[in-house]
This record gives sequence, structure tokens and C-alpha cells, in this order.
Amino acid sequence: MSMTATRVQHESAEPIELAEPEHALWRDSIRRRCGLDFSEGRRRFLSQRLRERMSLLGIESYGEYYRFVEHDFEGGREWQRLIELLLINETSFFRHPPSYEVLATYALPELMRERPGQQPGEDFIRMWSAGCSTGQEAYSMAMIFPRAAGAGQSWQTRIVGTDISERALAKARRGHYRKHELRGLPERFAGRHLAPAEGEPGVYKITDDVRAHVRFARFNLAGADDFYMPEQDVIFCQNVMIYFSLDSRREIFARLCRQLRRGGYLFLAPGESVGLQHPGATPVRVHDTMIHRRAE
Amino acid sequence: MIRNLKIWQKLALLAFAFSIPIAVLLYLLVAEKNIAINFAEKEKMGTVYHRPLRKLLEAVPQHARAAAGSEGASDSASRADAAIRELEGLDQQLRSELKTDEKFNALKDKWLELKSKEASAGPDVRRQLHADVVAGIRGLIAHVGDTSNLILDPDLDSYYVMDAELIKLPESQDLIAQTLQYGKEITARKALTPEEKTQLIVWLGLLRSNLDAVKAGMKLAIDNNASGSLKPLEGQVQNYAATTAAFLDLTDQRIANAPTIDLTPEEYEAAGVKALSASFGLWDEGTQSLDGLLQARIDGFNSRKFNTFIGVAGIGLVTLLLAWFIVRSITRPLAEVVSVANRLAKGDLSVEISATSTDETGQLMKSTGDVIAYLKETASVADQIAAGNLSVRVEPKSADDRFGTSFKNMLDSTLSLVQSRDERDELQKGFMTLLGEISDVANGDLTVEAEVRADATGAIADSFNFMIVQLREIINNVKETTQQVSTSATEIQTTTETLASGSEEQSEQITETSSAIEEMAVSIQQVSENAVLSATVADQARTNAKQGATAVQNNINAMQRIREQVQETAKRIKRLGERSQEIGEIVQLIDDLADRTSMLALNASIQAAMAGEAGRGFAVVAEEVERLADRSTNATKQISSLIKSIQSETNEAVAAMEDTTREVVEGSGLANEAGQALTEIEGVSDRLAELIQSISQASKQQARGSEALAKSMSVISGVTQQVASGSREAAVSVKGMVSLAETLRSSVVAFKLPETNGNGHHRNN
Ligand SMILES: C[S@@+](CC[C@H](N)C(=O)[O-])C[C@H]1O[C@@H](n2cnc3c(N)ncnc32)[C@H](O)[C@@H]1O
Repeated sequence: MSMTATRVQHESAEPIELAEPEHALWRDSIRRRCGLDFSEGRRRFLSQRLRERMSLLGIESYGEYYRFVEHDFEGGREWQRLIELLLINETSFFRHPPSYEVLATYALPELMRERPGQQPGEDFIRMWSAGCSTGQEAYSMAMIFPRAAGAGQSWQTRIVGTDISERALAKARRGHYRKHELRGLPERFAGRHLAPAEGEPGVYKITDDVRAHVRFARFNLAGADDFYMPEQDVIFCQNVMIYFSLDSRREIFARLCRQLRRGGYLFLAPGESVGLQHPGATPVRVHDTMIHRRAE
Repeated sequence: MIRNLKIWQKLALLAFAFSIPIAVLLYLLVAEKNIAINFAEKEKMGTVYHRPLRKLLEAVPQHARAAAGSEGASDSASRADAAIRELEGLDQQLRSELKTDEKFNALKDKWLELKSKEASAGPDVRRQLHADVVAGIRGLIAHVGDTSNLILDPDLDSYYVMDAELIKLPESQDLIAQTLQYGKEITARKALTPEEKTQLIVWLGLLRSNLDAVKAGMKLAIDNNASGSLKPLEGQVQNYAATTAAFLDLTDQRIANAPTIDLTPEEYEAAGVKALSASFGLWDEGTQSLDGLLQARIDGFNSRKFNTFIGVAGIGLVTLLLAWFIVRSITRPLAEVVSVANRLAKGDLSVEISATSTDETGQLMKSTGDVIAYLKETASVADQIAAGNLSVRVEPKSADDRFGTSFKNMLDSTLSLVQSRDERDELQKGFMTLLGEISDVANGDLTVEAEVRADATGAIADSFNFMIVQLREIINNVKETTQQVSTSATEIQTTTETLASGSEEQSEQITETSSAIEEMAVSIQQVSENAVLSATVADQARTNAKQGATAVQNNINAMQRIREQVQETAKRIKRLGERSQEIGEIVQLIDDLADRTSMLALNASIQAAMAGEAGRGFAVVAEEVERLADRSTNATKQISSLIKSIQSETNEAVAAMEDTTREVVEGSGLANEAGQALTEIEGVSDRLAELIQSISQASKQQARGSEALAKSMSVISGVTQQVASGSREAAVSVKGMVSLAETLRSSVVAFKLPETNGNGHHRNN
């Protein structure tokens, strides 16, 4: 408690907060580049993070720093450094347990049932963790998959995790987590799929049997460039769009729906689908959890 | 080996040894100058490379301002082309030094792309293409500044000129050009949108701060310029400041903050171009001055390098001469002494030597002379003894005169000579043994013990053994202490490492916690947004419900009307029935009349048959028949009118029926509407339910988030405690180490003062 109090005090003692018209410049530029929404409610956070970079670079005004980033001489590196500060990488294993429950007991069985007469090469389910942060979401999907595939079946899965944060991706690829980062991970999974890392006490690493199914790549969900990847059977995009403006949310929602294979499922976090509709996808309620299904 | 060298060789070696540091010093001095010269030469390369870039920076925005395809455009394009060609030539020469090839090629490609696309591009694309090229030019300017050392310029005056040339002026030129192009479009339209106003104000602010920075930097440069060569720049700076300020004021007062825009594009462009050309003028003048400053610096370093050479060579020459003289003054007398000594060694006492100087060699010569005199004297005494004169007296020259003393002793103790030789041999043997025993100690072996014998070496061996014991104790002490110290040090190291990893973990935890808090804040924000949305949805539901109610009411009304209509129809049909009855009666009557008429006609025909002359009766019948005929005509008329009225009534009834059907259709439509409205209400309430659900779920998530928060906090406090206890441990370890160090120090004190120890030992004995 005392910590928050001193923090507030500290901030109120700080100099010049980002004001108009620079705030509008920054807000629009960031929204254009990556969809993040820094309107009034997050202005303070934005100014704090901008100042962090500015003091390192010795730049004094927000306008000057804006021009510095816009005219970036290093091929976008400063922009990447800044965005790393603006992103929130909060995540955990099985973050919203009901979603995984629905995945294992409803979505995956349905998908497998609807695809009879598996051709060789057809017997795997593609899943995508969009905005995967440090990888826990993608690994959770990989861990729960065998429960739906059942023993002795030939079903396989390919999981890809994407994020805009290079730092988070590096950690995801490494697959090393400290003890407290394992919160939410059920005991039975922890025992089976995590092993103490050699030479690093208190650190655990994802075992190869899980890691073999998961790949990570950088991808800007709000970017203009198209991302080549096959249509997905399951997409998880949780707690990513809360940071976006409604307009960007609509665009990305449509993009995700298009990326779904016919009959595939999209999982958003609770409350995130408010105000979102797409003609190709119908909302389905399973055990009190809303998911979206791409029409056949 | 050195011992066998001649004196002059030794001295030459000495001189050589001294000349090495001097040579190194000289080398360093010259190398330092060379580095400074190379540095400045490279800076000059940068200014050379900048010149065509500056032409490009002038031509490209001009090209952007000129309408596509106009004469101005082709003129500026050809100038830009020329600048690019010039750059290409320079780039060939300088790319390995300045590492420009990649950026230059990118810039060239951008320019070619602009030229190929601009004819077909819209104004926005065209503007973007130009902005890309300008960004490329400025990027290259900055890059060349970095790679040519300009950015590291060591002198205050040239640094500030460089700063303006490299950063401030290109920035101002870019900004002025952008503002000008923007403002020109606005003045042509004579209208300003709020976004344009914001953009202009941002640019004006940036330009003002840039202008202030240029003025301040130039003033610093001129004030700190010792040679005064920057004085001419002052006028250019003033011109630049005045035109730019005028341009800024014009933009501010006549466009950005003007109630109405009455400035013509031509006027505005003239002001902008004036500011731009002043800026470029200042740039050109500045580049020239910068080159001048750099050249002056290079010249200065070159002349200092030359002076260093001359100075060092002169000093070297003088030193050589001096060395030669000194060598000569030493070797000459020595050579003489050596030849004398050689003859002396052969026993030749007839040599003569006298001092030629008062220095050490002179003294040597004099002493040699004294030795010769002494030897001559002793030789003459020995000659006398040999001649049998034992009465001669030999007195030593001093207490140190071994030769004299020995000579005397030889004389004194010829008889006891054999005995004393035996004793001496014994002693020598004892010392040799002792020495053998002791010499191991020098190699660090403290296990040895000297044998204590009865002779003179006994006392020495005894005290030597005592010393060894003491030494052993001290060394043991030191060894042990060192061991302990190293253990303590390791302990401290481990503790410190724990401490460090603990605080690292702590800072990571704090970062994660603040992330969690931020995400919670965003998620709460979303919940409130969702709540706002749900309020709108609820509103919509209410409106829909209202519409439904109205529709239902309308429906009921319509049904009511249908009932009324149906009643009316029933009445009309009833009346129709009544009328038909009337018609029946009338038809009856007509039937009746027809009957009677036929009867009368029958009667008339009978009467006519009976009495032909009595025609009167026929006349009556005829009358009667006429009357009947009248009445039947009337009846027929009545019937036809009745039929008409029936027809109209029937029509009315049909119309009423039609109305009814229409109303019914309308009614069912309304009922449908009502049904739809109700379904919509249902759907809306479904969504409402989902919203409410989502809100509750999100708050659950929030609760979980705060739980995690609390947990993180407890981890933090745990780590802090760990840190605290770790530092306590460290403190204890350090204390232990301090006392150990004290012990060590006292041992070493004992070791370092052997005299006190030795004295103590003697006293103890
Ligand atoms: C709060 S984390 C959610 C992680 C994970 N999905 C979960 O629910 O636990 C949001 C992630 O979205 C990523 N992100 C934000 N904007 C993005 C964009 N435009 N494209 C891709 N990823 C983005 C961030 O880097 C961050 O790692």
C-alpha cells in the first residue's frame, strides 16, 4: 500500500506530462503502427514511458522525440525499443481456465469428429496463439491437446505463437520460467512437462515433447503487411484487444475470423467480444464461455 | 657478460638505454599529432561530402513545391540529378572511409523511384515520395557526420559550426520547406482545417526552438574563435535569423492564427524562399569557415610536429657530443692505470704514475702511485731482512694495513706458525659444515636444525636453531590465518552473490507487478466501456419494447374496427332481407293483378260473345283493364327502383366487405410487426445477458489479478527479508575477517623486525 502511495507522489512531482497537440500526434502514430490505444485514459502511462526513452537519449521535448522516431535513421530500431516499453506482457499458464476446458472438451472433439477419413497430412490441428507474450498461452494449448486427442490416436497439433514484442518472443522461444511464473499451471502438467533448468536454480524449462509442437514468430496484428500462414483450426487471442481502440478491434476481429478454417473456433477473453460481429462467424456459448465459430 | 665489456661500451650502452625512452616519447608525440591531423582530414572529407548533399536538400523541396511537369520542376530535377551525379563520384572515392555506399544507394533509388512515379502519383503520394527522399538526405548527412568524426569535433568554435551545419540547419531547411509547401497550399485554398492548424503550430514550435539553438550555437562559436576567422559569419547569422523569424511570424499571424487568410501563395512563397536561401547562405559560409578552421588546425599540428623533430634532434646531438667527451675523460686515465697495474702485477716496481685530474680517476692514479711507493719501501725492508738484518722494525701504516700487520706478524710469530695453521683449518671446517646446514633455509626448508658443537660455531648454531623455531611459528601462523581469510572471503562472496541475485529477482518482480497492475487498470477500463455499451443496448431494448406496445395497441384498434365493420355489414344485409320481403309482397300483388286482369279479359271476351251491340259493357271492361295496366306499370316502376336500391345496397355491402378484408390484412401485418418487435426485444435481452455475464467474468478476472498482485507483494517482501539477513551475515563475516587481518598484521610485525627479536633472544639467554 505504501508503495502505491509513494508512487503516486513521485509521479505528481514529475515534470511536464504529455499534452496536446503532441499527445494527439503520438496517439495517432502509435494507433496507426500497432493498434494500441493511448487516448486520455492511458496518457499518463504513455508519457511516463516516453520520458524513460527521452532521458536515455537526452531528448527534452515530446515533439522532438516524435520527430526522432518518425525520421528513425536506424531502420525502426528506436521504434521497436519504444514499443517494448509500451506493451504489457502480463500472462500466465491456463490464464482463463474455462477457455481451455472448452477447448479440450468441446472445440477439439468437434473438429476431430467433423473431419473423418483423415488423409495423411490431414490429421493435425493447427492452432494459433495471437499475442502470445512470453509463450505460456501457446504452451498451455500444447499441454492440453493430448487430452482431446485421446490415447492411441494419430491426431497431431502444430501451434504457432506470434507477438510484436521481440523481448517477449525471445523468452517464449527459450521456454525457461521462474517458479512464480508457473502460477496457474496444474500440478499434473508441471510434473510432466517442466524440468529444472541445469545450472539455474529456481528456473524450470519446458520439456521437448511440448516444445516440439510450438513455434514462435514476430507478427504485428495491426500491421498492414499480410502474414502468410495457413488457415487455423483454433485461434486464441486473449487479453490483447483490450489495449486497442474499438476500430482496430473490429479490424483485427475480422482478420482473425478470415484466418479461421471453416468450422474453426476463435477464443477471445471474457467481455472482449462486446461490439464485435462478423458475418462469417457465429457466437456459440459453451459452458458459459463465448467462442466464435466460422461457418462451414 | 656486461662485466666483460669495456668502459666505453658500457657507457654507450647506457646512452643507448636512455635514448630508447626519448625515441618512444618522440614517437608518441608525433603519433599524437598524426592522429589529430588524420582526424581533421577525415572531418574535411565529411564537409566535402556534405556539399552536394546540401544542393540536393535545396533542390528536392523546390521540386516538391513546383507543380509536377512545370518548368520549375524540371529545372530543380535536373539540378538534383547533377547533385546526385556529383555525389556518386564522391561516393566512389570516399565510401570506404565514410561507409556511405548503402545509404547513398538507398537515397539514389528513392530519388529514381520518385522520378518514375511522380507523373502518375496523386498529391499525397507525391508528397510522401519527396518526404522519403528528404529523410534519406538528412539521414545521409547525419551518417556522414558520424563516420567522418565531424560529430566528435574537439574545438569549441568548429564544434558549434559543425553542429549547425550537420543538424540544426538541415533540420530548419527541412522544416521551412515543409511548412512552406503546406502553407502555400493553404493560402491557395484560403481555408484552414483544425488538423492543419495543429500541424502548423507544431512545426512553428520546432522551428522557433531550432532558430534559438542556431543563434546560441553560432554566438558560442564566434565568441570562442581565437583567430577571429568566424567574424564574417555574424552577418549571415543575422540575415538568417531575421528572414526566418519573418517567415515564422508570417505563418503564425497570417495563416495559423489569422481570422481570415488573405495572403497570396506567391507572397508566402517569396518569404519562405528568402528564409531558405538565407539558411543555405549561412550553410555555405559556415562550410567554408569550417574548412578554414580545419585547415588551420591541420597546419598548426604539422608545424608543431616539425618543431618537435628539430628540438629532439638538436638535444640528441648535444647529448652525443657530451657523452663522447665524458667517455674520453674516463677511459684515458684508466688505460694508463691499467697498464701500470699490469706491469706492477709482473713485479715491475720501476713504473711511475702521477694524477692528471682530481676526479675519481685522478684519485685512482694517485693511490696507484702511493701503492707503488709503499711496495717499493716494503721491498727494500724485505731486502734488508733477506740480507740478515733482523733488527729492522716494521710498523703498519694504519690499523687497516693488513699487509703491514701481516708483515709484522710474519716477523713476530715465525715459531708458532705450524700450530696456528692447524687451529685455523679446524675452524674453517666447522664453518663450512654450519654453512651447509643453514643454506637449506634460504630455499624455504624450515625443518633443518644445525648441530651444536663445542667449538666457536656452537653459539651461532644455537641461536640459528632458536631463530628457526620462531620462524616456523610465524610462518605457521601466517599460513593458518591466510587459510581463514580466504575462507571468509569466499563466504562473503557467496553472501554477496545471494544478495545480488535477490535484488535482481526483486526488481524483476516489481516490473511484473506493475505490468499486472497496468493490465488490471486497462481491463477495468474495458469493463466500464462495456457497461456504457450495455446501457445503450438497454436503451435500445426499451425503445423496441415501446414500439412493440404501440404496434400491439394499433393491432387491437384495427381489430375493433373490423368488428364494427362486420356489425355494420350484418345490419345492411338484414335490411337487404327486409327489402326483399317487400319485393315479394309487390310481386304477389302483381301476380294478383295479373290474375284479375286475366279474369277480366275472360269476362270481356264472354260479354263480347253474348251481345255484340251491347258494347258498353266492353267499354267498362276496357276501362278496368286500362286501370289495371296503369297500376301494373306503377308496380313495375317500383320494382325497378327497388332493384336499383338493392343493387346499390349490395354494392355498399361488397365495399364494406372489401374494407373489412383490407383491415384484416392490415391487422395481420401489424400483428407481424408486433411479433418481430418482440423477437428483437428477445435478442436484445440475450445480448444484454451476455454483457452482464462478461462484466461479471471480467470482474472475476480482476479479482484474480489482485490475488496475483498480493502474492507478488509477498514474494517481494520475502526477497527483501532475504536481502536483509544476507547483509547481516555479510557484516558478521566481515567482522571476523577484520580480526583475522589484525592477527596477521601482528605476526608480520614480528617477522619484519628481526633485530628486536634477536635482542630479545640474547636477553633471554
Ligand atoms: C497482456 S498480453 C496477453 C498474453 C496472452 N495472450 C494471455 O492472455 O495471457 C498482450 C500481448 O499482446 C501483444 N501485442 C500488443 N499489440 C500487438 C500487436 N499489434 N500485434 C501483435 N501483438 C501485440 C503484446 O506484446 C503482449 O505480449
